[in-house]
Amino acid sequence: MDYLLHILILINIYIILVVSLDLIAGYTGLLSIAHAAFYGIGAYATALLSIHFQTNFLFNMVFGIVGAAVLGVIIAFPSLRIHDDYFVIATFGFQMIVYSVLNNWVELTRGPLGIPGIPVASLFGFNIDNHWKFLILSSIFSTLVYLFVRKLVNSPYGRVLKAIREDEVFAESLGKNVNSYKIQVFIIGGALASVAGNLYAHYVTFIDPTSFTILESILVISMVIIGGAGSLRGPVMGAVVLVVLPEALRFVGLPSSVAANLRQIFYGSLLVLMMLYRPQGLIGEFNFQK
Amino acid sequence: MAETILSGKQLRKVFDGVIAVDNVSFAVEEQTITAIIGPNGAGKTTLFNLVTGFIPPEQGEVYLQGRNLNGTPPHEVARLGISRTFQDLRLLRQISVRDNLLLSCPNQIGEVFWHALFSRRVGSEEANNHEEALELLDFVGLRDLTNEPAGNLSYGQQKLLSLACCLATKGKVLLLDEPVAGVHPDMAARILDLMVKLRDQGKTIVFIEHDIEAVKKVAGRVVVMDDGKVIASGSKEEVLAKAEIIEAYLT
Repeated sequence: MDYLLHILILINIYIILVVSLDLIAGYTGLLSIAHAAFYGIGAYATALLSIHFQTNFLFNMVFGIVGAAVLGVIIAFPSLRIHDDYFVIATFGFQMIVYSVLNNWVELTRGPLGIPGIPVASLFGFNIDNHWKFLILSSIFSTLVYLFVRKLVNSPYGRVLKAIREDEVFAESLGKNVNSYKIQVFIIGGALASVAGNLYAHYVTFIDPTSFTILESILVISMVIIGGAGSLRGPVMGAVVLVVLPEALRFVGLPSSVAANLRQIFYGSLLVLMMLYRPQGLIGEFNFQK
Repeated sequence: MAETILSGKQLRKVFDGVIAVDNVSFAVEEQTITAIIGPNGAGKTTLFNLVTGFIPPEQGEVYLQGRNLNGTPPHEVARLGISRTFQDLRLLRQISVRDNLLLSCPNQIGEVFWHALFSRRVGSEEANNHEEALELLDFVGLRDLTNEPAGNLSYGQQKLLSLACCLATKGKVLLLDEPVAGVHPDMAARILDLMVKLRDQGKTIVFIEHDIEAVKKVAGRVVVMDDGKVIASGSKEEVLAKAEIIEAYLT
């Protein structure tokens, strides 16, 4: 039973990640492969604060959000000057920097050893100490994040984001401050992703840098693209599919070493097939093939 | 004597050693229609880009009602009252005609993050803008296509829509880059009529055009550019009378 709950909790965490990335990449058209960096900032802020200062879950979350927002401003800067492929490469650079810091600043993060013994989340004196409780907590947050982003993208604000995605020059000529919107979107998207990191750290109670590598970023992007960038239900569906299907592979009876590799091959081929036959994703209006 | 609303002084821009705009000065009076003519590569569109802040000039200044616009980013220029259209027709083709217009409305509180999430005024603002959008669609004659994705419109209709978007921004000065090029003559006549109406309503229009007949029909003043320089300017009658210009222009 716990195994099923575990999968549902993971789905909730990934929903937060895909929805926040969708705001940046799907709605605003800024394809970023630094999303795991925001996720990592949230997780490490949570781990370090709750171990060293015994701070509670909500405080950690706020702190992670602030940290991710600062990183968001930094990552947004190249997007003001460079576009498309070049911007993707710049975000790749930021992703590598954040990973290197987590991996090499041993005094702070214990490097590759990771941080064990993160206390479970507690909310108003109530310990979230089993799978059921954590499922409820993570569902609340994934729903809140989903509703937040939905409200935003369906508002006039979201209309400007889509205009920037489709034609920056047009948006600018209509008096929209394109640069300001890009920075805002990275702050918002990054801050939301850090919430996923916070939940993850409190949930698994042990984190190390390998959870926040470029591969994690690519997994989240795959979920967004396969589901359908620029819609909300699409990426959520992508998250469900990419969390559940590899788990299903376990039951086919393959040895775990083969199953792990098969998983990568599976993501890869799914992405290639989608790009070839359905670039807009399962549900979605925007495709990256311009 | 009417008041000068927009002027440029000794504007210059060089691209990779090619002088695109060379010491161009101009003055546009309020509530007039000015045509800029000249062969391809004469620097007409570059001049628009210099005025609207999309390209910073290397030298020279642009003034809008006495205010120096140098260093002002394009979105600020648009907010200060200069709206423009583009030669290559920029519109959001996936979204509806109405949504293109709603997007074009200026200073929306719903476009501010905090208000978009929490303000109750966004709904009424959208309703007001919707009304204005419908009025503009009536004005340009696209009311029937309100809900159609902009990409489904004919080329001429898209030109009308981009004019409407330009109007929705409430600019006082409209810079129209080839507003009638490539459209059916009936549609061209319609667009030219609208331009005259807009002038009579108080707008100031500067447009780039290749069709000399269109220029004759609506322009009050004409500026002729060649090789980045202004080679003639003045009232339509004056300029068009100079045979050599017509010749330069036509060849």
